[in-house]
Amino acid sequence: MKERVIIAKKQPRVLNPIQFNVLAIILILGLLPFAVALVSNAGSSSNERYETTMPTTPGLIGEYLNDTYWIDNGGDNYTQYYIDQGVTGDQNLDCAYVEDGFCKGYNSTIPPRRSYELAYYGFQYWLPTVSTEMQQSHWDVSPAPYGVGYSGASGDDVFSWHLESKFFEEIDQQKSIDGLRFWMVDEDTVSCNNYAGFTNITFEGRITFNFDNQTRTFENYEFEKTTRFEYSDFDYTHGGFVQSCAIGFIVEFEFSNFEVLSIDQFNGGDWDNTSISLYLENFEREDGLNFADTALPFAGDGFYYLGIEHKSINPQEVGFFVKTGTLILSVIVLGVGLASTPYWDPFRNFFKGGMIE
Amino acid sequence: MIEIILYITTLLISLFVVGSASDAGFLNSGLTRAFGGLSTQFVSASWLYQYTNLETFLYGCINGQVGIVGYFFIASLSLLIVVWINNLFEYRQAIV
Repeated sequence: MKERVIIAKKQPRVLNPIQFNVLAIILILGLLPFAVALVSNAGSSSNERYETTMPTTPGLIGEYLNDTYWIDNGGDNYTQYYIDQGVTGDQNLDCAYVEDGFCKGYNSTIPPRRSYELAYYGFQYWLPTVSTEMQQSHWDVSPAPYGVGYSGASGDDVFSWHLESKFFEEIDQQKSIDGLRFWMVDEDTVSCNNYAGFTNITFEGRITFNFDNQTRTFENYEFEKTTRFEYSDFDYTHGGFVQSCAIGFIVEFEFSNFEVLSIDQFNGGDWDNTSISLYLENFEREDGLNFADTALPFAGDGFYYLGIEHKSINPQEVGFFVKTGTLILSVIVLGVGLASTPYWDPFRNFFKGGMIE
Repeated sequence: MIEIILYITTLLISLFVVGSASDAGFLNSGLTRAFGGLSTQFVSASWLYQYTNLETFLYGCINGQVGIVGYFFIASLSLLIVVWINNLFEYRQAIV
């Protein structure tokens, strides 16, 4: 009996010039971005849990802030409105409009008040995080005995604050941060069911770290928020917690691993001497109506609550993984570059049979 | 700098696509090649800018946030782009 032996012949894998170009496009548009995303997130040890950034020691209640102030209070000058209402007093009128850290509303250019009046810091219990009470945009000009009440609007251009280093005492020294968020809630509660002032808004944000007379800014943050802020409040009359509403929102800044390293290079984790300038600008209503007198938590003639939280991260760990990952990626890209030349043909060898000319 | 790298990269991609399509018998007129090339560059640039963090990564490398390996990566990527541009003109394909 004859035995038949069949020898399977291996078919050569073939790539033509078009397929080699497709391979190049896949490398650039597909593999490279995914590899970069992997490297970018490598070593991210943050557990996504926010911790309070502000002091929690009860003994600090009553200690005054002395380097926290409005940089810009809305972008619109309402000085004339308050003059027309009979407000007098140069300093009060002057601070109806604050621009670049200076009161410019009336007849002089003086720094806005940086005294005890701006805020206490330490515990406040009204929000589900540590917060402090801050003056609203027109606090200086509108309350009695000088004022006649809030104008109803402060502007839609830019609201910005300089927040001194006392706000950031709870960030561990020698650590960096990959997230920072600001709770901003009006001190007055409103009806959750009947208040008509809630609306959806969009705005942009940027944040500047100040350290050793130098600055580092991270920008192009975009926010979509509702001004409806709900939280559990204790009802002292009837006992127990009830749902409360106020004008407010939380503004959250996330930092990539590169930005984490950048912050660490900038201040070396010295948070006791780092202040932050926060800018919120270009406000618009999502319903397309004129922004005009849209209620904002920090615009008014009273107070609002400011809470700050952070996510800390170990910059050494991030640096190790990111730099190692970048090195590996660099070697791979360099290898692909060399393999794309006629002098080294790993692609051609892999796709045995080579090109169809 | 970042814009230049990404612009050249996406231009390269559009040249790959237009050249390959032309070789395969498509995009025979100058008008369709121009439209195809521009469309491809727009789509690929949008992808790289808006849906990936390649731009942030390149900024981090150039600004020194990743240290010397960041510069090494930029040099490697630049070399790759130069080689592919050369190959495209010499051989009408990126990888030879």
